[in-house]
Amino acid sequence: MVAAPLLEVEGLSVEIETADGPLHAVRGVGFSLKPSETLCIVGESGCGKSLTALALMGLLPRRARRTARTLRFDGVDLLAQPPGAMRQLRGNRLSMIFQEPMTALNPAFTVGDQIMDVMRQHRSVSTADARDHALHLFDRVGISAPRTRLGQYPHELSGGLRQRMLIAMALMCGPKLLLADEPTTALDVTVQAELLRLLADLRSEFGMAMIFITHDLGLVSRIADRVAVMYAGEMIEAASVDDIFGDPMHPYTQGLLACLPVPGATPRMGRLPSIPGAVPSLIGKQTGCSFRDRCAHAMAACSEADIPSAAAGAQHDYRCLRTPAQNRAASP
Amino acid sequence: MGRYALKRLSSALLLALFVSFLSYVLIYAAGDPAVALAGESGSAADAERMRAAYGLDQPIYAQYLHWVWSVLHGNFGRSLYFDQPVSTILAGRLGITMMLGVSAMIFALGLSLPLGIAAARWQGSAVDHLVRAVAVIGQAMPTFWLALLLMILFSVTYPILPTSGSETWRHFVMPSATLGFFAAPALIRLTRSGMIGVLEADYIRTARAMGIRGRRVLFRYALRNAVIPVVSLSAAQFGYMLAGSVVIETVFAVHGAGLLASESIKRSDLPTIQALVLCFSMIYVVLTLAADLVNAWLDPRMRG
Amino acid sequence: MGSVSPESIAAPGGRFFSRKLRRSLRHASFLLGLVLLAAIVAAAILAPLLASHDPYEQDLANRLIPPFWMDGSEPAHLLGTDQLGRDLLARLLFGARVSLAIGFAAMLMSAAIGISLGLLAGFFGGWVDTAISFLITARLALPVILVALAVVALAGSSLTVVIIVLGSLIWDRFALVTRASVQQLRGAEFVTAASLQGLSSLQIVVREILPNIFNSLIVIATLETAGAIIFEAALSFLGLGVPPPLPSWGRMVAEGKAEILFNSWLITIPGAMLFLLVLAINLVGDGLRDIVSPDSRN
Repeated sequence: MVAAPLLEVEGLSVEIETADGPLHAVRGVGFSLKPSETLCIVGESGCGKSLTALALMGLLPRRARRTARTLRFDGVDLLAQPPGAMRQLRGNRLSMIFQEPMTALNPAFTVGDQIMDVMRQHRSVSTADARDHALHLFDRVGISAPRTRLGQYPHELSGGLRQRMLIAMALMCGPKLLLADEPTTALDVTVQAELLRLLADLRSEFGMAMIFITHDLGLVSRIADRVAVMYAGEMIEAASVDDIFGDPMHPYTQGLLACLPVPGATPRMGRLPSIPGAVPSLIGKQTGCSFRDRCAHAMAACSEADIPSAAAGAQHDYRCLRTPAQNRAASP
Repeated sequence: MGRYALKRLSSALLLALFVSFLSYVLIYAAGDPAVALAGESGSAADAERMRAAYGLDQPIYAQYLHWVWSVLHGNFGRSLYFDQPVSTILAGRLGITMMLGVSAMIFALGLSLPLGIAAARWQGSAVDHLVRAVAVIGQAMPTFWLALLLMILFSVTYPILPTSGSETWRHFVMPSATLGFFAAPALIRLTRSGMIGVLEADYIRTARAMGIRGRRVLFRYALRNAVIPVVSLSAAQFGYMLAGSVVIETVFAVHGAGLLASESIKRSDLPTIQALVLCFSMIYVVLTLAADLVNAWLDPRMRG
Repeated sequence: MGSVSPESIAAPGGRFFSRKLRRSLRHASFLLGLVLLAAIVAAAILAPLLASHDPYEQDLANRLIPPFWMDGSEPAHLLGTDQLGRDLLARLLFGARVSLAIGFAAMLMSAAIGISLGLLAGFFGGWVDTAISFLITARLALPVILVALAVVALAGSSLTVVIIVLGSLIWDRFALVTRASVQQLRGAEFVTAASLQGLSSLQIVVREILPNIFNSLIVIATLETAGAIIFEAALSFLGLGVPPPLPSWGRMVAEGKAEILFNSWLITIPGAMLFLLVLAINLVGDGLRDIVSPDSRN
């Protein structure tokens, strides 16, 4: 029996009001997620991946507006939820952790207070029970001396420790989906590896689905089941992790992979390939493929109309007018 | 925390000492107190008698040190006008001024905090503009004019409040409101900007992402952080209010330290004036110290 | 270019047009303040031409005539007369001169003191900074109204005394802002470059640092002028400001207090002039602050 998708997104767009006009930061993004599946959303800075996650949570900044055809999570139509109902889902069935652990915790309260508060908001439990659960989670995320930690203030803790606490906080109510927006980017490489392992363990233990946002393809290979590549607000390719690395379709994806130095394959002292050009402005009406100015294979048709989604195999979609065969031939 | 408090206390004492010295010097630089004491119709001989009688013929530093010594023994000298120890006169009058100050502060905070929070919560809306207009208008209004306007409204046109004296609580309504309105604009602005800054912070985003109720986010998570600069400002504003009480108490004939100050100045009652300057500055110093300590309690980062 | 991160748009903005609306509103209040201020300054300068009476001339036969919008008014005295028969409008116009002159002069003097102290403290640091900071804190603790009253009482009230007393007491904000700005700039590259070129400290301060802090100092200057005007009005209200018969709005309010029961316009009108002048200056100052540092939270 095919499991019903936990999350279904279709036609998600985010528009931001600026002094120069509406900025189309996210355009027609669609994907689905099964329970316990991990999706990595990859892309460079500013491609709209963070905004996509915020849009799912209903946490967009005030000047941003969200539209979507479908936004279903765990049987709930997120588009129809009033703010109060959305709030009840957040931290409860749907959690998010962010990039900067150093500023993500309230300096005026102990970490224990903040973490227990999450549970007390969504469950009617006694303080003692909330405390026990917090201690249990602290233990689970690998925080030493958990009892002492509960009474400490954020400024007394290191970045890695704070991020573990934020993970614990996000898991307090056993969410079905965890959104992680570049949670390890601001941390040491060694701490990164530990946290990644922790997240992988937790998601299998909690049976949790995860959307992991990153710009680091190396992390993707270690943690993803599926990968979605975003560029200039659009999802230009989505596939299983094997297919993305083994059979990339979109020229941008191919370019990204080509940029990765491969031990043994990349000539030493050679120049790393990079994709020439820059991301286009997203202000005002957008037509055609946003990658065309930087694409070696661009054609006239690429500027004329929006590029529809094409299939390259089971569960492998990409937005390009070229056929899979053409793209495979071009791949280095 | 203890060492921090001690350090601040000792620098506070040094400050009070220096302030009193400063006022001594300024007043003596202004003119000859002996001549002032002799009065307008006094002759040079009268002035000399005054000088000898009140020890004004000593060099300034000697007079100052003598004064500091007696102050440290709790003796503020004798009032030249009342012929009583200054400390006795001061005690009663200061009490009234402090009562005025405290009720004014309650009024000011009761007005400023809700307005500032509302303006931040609905930033850019009509509420925000209204609050800022109130702050701008309040800042431009001379206190004595506002005092008199209130008097015209509530004692002349609709006689529901008394115009002078300090016997009943009714006597305190207009003076407190005026004084409170004097301190409010700065507090409104600071509360508003502080809250706006805090509401943009990452930790507030975390709280929202974890599904914390909006009201709780605002009044517990955000306010606790935003209120820190407000505490410091409130202490400073209280100090300014005490100085402003000179005007208000004169208008409403409230028999507090402020009225005593202006009367003593007109009567050249130097010991009283010096004692009042010292008291007012000590109150300011103690208040700012207390504010720092409260902040250290509110913001755990400052305790290190 | 056109790429966006949540951080860059995180500043709460209100509804769609409100950003543009807010900007123009801020400009509107600035313009209002500017127009109002210009009007009052013009009225003060043109006082001899605009006043149809001598502000000092007493006319006891025509005491307490109400202003034109009340019964019993006379066209010869648009705003009425006070208890000594002096024309109110004339006294207001000449009183504007007093307020503006004192406010401006006191501000200049306090600027000279405060900026010098701030420059010394910020530039040299060390014990100079400690000493000056202590001085500033002492000044903040000082109950300035009391000291001002006492000094004027002893030295005798006159225009000069009032200006000097105010100027020597209200320099604290100049000092604080200058000190903070200079500290910030002291480590800047162009300052290091200047000292490497062999410029003396004084030259660095004057040629490199001062121009950069000029903008914030202008803002402080407008706000301190307003403060000085109110301070003088309070002193005059208490009887220890500019001496009679010089028309001071503050003293006019005090004199009007005796007439609070039946002729309260003697209180409301001079007070309203003070309010409008200070309001105008504050609006201009706030507007300048917005222009100088547009991303400030006000």
